[in-house]
Amino acid sequence: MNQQIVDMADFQDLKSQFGLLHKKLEHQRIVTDELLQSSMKAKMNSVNRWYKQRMLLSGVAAPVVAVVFIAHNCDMGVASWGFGLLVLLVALLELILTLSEYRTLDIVHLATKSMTEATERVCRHRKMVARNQFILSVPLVVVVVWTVLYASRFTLNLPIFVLTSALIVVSLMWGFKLLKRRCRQVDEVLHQIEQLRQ
Amino acid sequence: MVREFRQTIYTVCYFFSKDKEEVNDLFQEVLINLWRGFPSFRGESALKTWIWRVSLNTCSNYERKRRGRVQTIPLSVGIDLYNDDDDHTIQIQKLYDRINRLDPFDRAIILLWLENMTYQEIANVVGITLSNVTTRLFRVKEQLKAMSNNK
Repeated sequence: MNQQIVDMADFQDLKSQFGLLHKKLEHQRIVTDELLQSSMKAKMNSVNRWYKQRMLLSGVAAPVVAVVFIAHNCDMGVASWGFGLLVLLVALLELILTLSEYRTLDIVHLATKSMTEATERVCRHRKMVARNQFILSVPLVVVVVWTVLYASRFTLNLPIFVLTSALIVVSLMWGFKLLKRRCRQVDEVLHQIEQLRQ
Repeated sequence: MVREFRQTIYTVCYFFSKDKEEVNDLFQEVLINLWRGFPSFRGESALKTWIWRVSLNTCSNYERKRRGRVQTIPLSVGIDLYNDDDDHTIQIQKLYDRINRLDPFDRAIILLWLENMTYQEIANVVGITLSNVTTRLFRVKEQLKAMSNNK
């Protein structure tokens, strides 16, 4: 207590000067809106780019690969062209679902919408992502199993079996991680829109 | 979070900078570090303690070298405590002149003390023991007293 009294007496000027600084800062606007806007824009661009890449992958790359695969690998009958066709269908389904997610979110114009609409869109988008993942999971499992079997030529070729399975598991995990990160970015964008409007 | 603690961040940046431009740079640097570090903030300490720690670490480690530094966007801090000449600013500049003569670690401790933090809170932020805080604060206060006597 005595020490505090000594402190108060000796350093009253320091404390009052520090108080003046606080007072001054209270009335000043320390601009952070530019930083918030820039960060929000970067996230929005990132989400937008991610959706475009997904659409390119499922709408162009995967179908082209599937058609080329069907054209060049008909040696095993249904096992080959059936697989190609399934990949084509899954890619088409993925394209439709991605498009619906993209339109629901409308990330490019999210910041211009009212807070209620932006929040509603983000919530709908979140539900849609979960639902779409569920819808895609069934054909994806079939594609995965078929890929593994096809790669090992429907025989018990253990090394190829293990390698293909591992590759698929890693790529699926990576895909889900990316998806999760994008969803988190969308949430952050919404939070930043809210902050900027305050 | 940034809005709520902008005063704290600005205060630290101010006492660790030479001019307005450097305050702007430091302010951005602290914000970037807070953004980067926020996902790993587990709430083990109070948010304010964490913000003080990040701000003080950033400011004391700050180097004026541009090379290798992350490209930041221009951000203007709408206050100039170096050039304004109203009475309050002059008083604040007097405080700045005294505190800025201390070494960075002592500067951190005295800033936390001026922020009315308890010795235990100061120890938590700077990562030293309670008795160390007491000893260092005593020395810092002696230095500050000597400075005012020399004036």
